[in-house]
Amino acid sequence: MDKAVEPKIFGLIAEFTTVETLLEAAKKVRDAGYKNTDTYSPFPVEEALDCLGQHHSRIAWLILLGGITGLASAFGLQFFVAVIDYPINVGGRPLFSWPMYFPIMFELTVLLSVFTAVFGMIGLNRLPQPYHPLFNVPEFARASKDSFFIGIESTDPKFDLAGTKSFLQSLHPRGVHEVQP
Amino acid sequence: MSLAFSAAASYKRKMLLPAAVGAGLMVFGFLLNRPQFFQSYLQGYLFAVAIPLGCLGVTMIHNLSGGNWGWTIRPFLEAGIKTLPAMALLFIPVALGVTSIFPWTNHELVAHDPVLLGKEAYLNVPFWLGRAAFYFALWSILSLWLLRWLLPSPTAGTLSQQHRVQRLSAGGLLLFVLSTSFAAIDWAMSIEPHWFSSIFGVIVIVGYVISAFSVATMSLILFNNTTPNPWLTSKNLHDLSKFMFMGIMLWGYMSLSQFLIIWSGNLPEETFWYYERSLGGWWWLSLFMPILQWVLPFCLLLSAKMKKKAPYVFKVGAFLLVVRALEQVWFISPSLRLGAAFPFHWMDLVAPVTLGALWAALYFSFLGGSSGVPAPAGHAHTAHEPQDQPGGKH
Repeated sequence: MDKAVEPKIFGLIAEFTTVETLLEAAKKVRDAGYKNTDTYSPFPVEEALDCLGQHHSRIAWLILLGGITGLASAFGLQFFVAVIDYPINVGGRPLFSWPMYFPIMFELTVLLSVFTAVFGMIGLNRLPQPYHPLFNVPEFARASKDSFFIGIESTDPKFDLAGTKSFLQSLHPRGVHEVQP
Repeated sequence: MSLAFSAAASYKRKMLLPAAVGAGLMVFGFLLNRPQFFQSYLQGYLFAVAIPLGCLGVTMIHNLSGGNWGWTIRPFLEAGIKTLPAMALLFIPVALGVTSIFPWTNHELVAHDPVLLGKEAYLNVPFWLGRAAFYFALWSILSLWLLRWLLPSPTAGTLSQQHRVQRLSAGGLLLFVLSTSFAAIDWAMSIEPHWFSSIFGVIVIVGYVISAFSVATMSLILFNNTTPNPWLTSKNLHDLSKFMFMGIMLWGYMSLSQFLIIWSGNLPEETFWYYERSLGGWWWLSLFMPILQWVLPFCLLLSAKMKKKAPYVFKVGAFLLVVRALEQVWFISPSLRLGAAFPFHWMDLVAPVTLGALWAALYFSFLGGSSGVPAPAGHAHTAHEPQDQPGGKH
């Protein structure tokens, strides 16, 4: 490092008091062209991602893939065991008794879908994450109680500390906070 | 604030033409082939009565569970419930045709059949008619009582008023499930009087729920075109689509359970019901039932994005209703027209359209008189006030 670099700021967060003001602000943030954004709230606000224009999570496709894997492996396992590897005559039923495959196919589809959902969510959220820059903002503790935050990260191509700050101020938040790295 | 459904009158007029044409065709069919008329009428009736019964059940569930999804469709559910007493009148042709429809009314047959002889104490015409009268009396009383006590919005009423409608719904749901199960046995399962399946009533009730959610969600989307509805948010529409999805999942679960239990038990006194449905042209309908009622809607309703697109959900709801009508044919006809090469009689198509249109005309006229959608809950919901009241926590 031959020149002193100012430690790069993580981003800015604006604090709101209601879901409605959060969603209004999220739409304006999206319309202003910001991409690396996120919202933080005490309870899930499903519309928030739509308002931010950020609904391209890969989790749904991963879950579908997990489900299909469960379905196919349950069918394959039962077919292999009952028809190819160890065929037994059970009460005169055909070896390929597909109706009886359904319970296992259903269970494994659900099991692998849910596993993919839970572990995929943890992985895509990069959890566990013992440190996050947001913890540097004391006000952020209220995101677990009664405040709603919108964050714009400094990696966003449109991010510019002074300009973004005054933009966030124009959304009438309770406050705008800088997030140190 | 409330927004009335001013377009209901014009929708009602649009329903009168198919109802009138259909009724004319049914009269023609009655003169032509009396037993077939009664059978087709029963199928059409079971399709139509499922909608108000579903509305009654879903409303009682919502009174206990709370949730914005229910307030979103509340006026439609209420208008659906209001049609229930009138459905008793439309039952009269079924009651008149009982001896043309149900094999257990044939004394010759019963006299030589020890099984049917043993069931005669339950399956006889006077008791069957009495039970039907009892069901309609119960449902009418329940719906009138419920309509009297229902609160217009999540924030309306005192705590004791909210509690009494919840108590009524809790008891009412118990009576509802018992009575509709028995009605399903009487009106659909007894078409094959030797057969028995304890899960059959549940399959029929799940059908009610699919019908009610389809009709209510379609109405919500339809009326939003003329009167924008503040409740029709993407989240609420998503929830309603999820309920439709839940309905078809439950249908698949119950129907497969019934099939699996009978298939693995492999007892002739149970399996013949499915065997009858594999003969002739019925094989194709039996093959398509799980595809149309489960595989296809499952794929159509899987995507979260599509579940929030109103015109798309409207079409899926309409499709589900068509399959509801088809399933009534699958319940009734194969036992009466064994191994028919072509499964459908023309009246099988006309009857559900006629009775569906008649029901819809009635529904729209009640909807036109309704006070409209309830005012949305509060102005803003924050972390301090959960919005799903009443019935949340006490």
